Amino acid sequence: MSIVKFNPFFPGKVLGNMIEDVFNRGISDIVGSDFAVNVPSVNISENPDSFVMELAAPGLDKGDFNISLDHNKLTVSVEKKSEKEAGEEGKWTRKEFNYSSFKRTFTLTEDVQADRIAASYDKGILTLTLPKKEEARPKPAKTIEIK
Amino acid sequence: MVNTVFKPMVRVHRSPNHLHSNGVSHHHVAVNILEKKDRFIIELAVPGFEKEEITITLDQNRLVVKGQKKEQTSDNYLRKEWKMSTFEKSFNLGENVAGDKSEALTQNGVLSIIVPKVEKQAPVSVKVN
Repeated sequence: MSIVKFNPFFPGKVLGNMIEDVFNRGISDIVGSDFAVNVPSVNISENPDSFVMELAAPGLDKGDFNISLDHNKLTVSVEKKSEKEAGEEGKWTRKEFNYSSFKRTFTLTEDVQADRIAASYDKGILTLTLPKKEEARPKPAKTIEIK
Repeated sequence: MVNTVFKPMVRVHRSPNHLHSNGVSHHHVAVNILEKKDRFIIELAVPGFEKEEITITLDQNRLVVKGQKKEQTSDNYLRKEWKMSTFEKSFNLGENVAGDKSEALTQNGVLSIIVPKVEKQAPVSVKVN
């Protein structure tokens, strides 16, 4: 967001600038880049032997993610130092998504085998597979033989 | 703390149209547009889409991007904050860009469309004799 200097002697000019800003820019320029979506949404599904979490965080690389587990708190975070491309300059005329810095924490149930959590990143989706503990899995149907 | 608690709340407030009757899913496509000296770069957040599932057409000066996912897995969801099976987004290109020379690529769930700017013709000076 740009800082507009207020000049009490030329109020008309300031107002003129602001109107131009409103019509020529995306909403994120006016409200600030914080307006953009920058925390990924998550889907969590349950299978018989695992939970699967899918975070939609496009535009990153596998190495950008930090996944940590502290007791039953699973934290996924990204902290990219700088997204500037080397050399060439450019300006964002619209910015609705930016996942270069976020942190999301999830509380796991006791059913999860914490030491066997697996993660992969494909097509902008971070998938975490959380296997269930043996006792939390549904027991296979047992046939009882008639003697 | 601020990140995890405060931001998701603000996000719902910011784009109320992504809340449907079931309360969670949305098909909104977020767009970034970067202007460089000689081109515009339009970025669409399309997580999970293969490039074969996306079509880009240019009709006059209207650039239309459509996405259609082949098969949606029907898992037993405990929580569903996003869903993208279909989307459509269109852009009106100005006269200062060469839409027919656009290029597109997908990487890590981001579709980037590069639209080159038209080189400005040098003003022709007519000599008055």
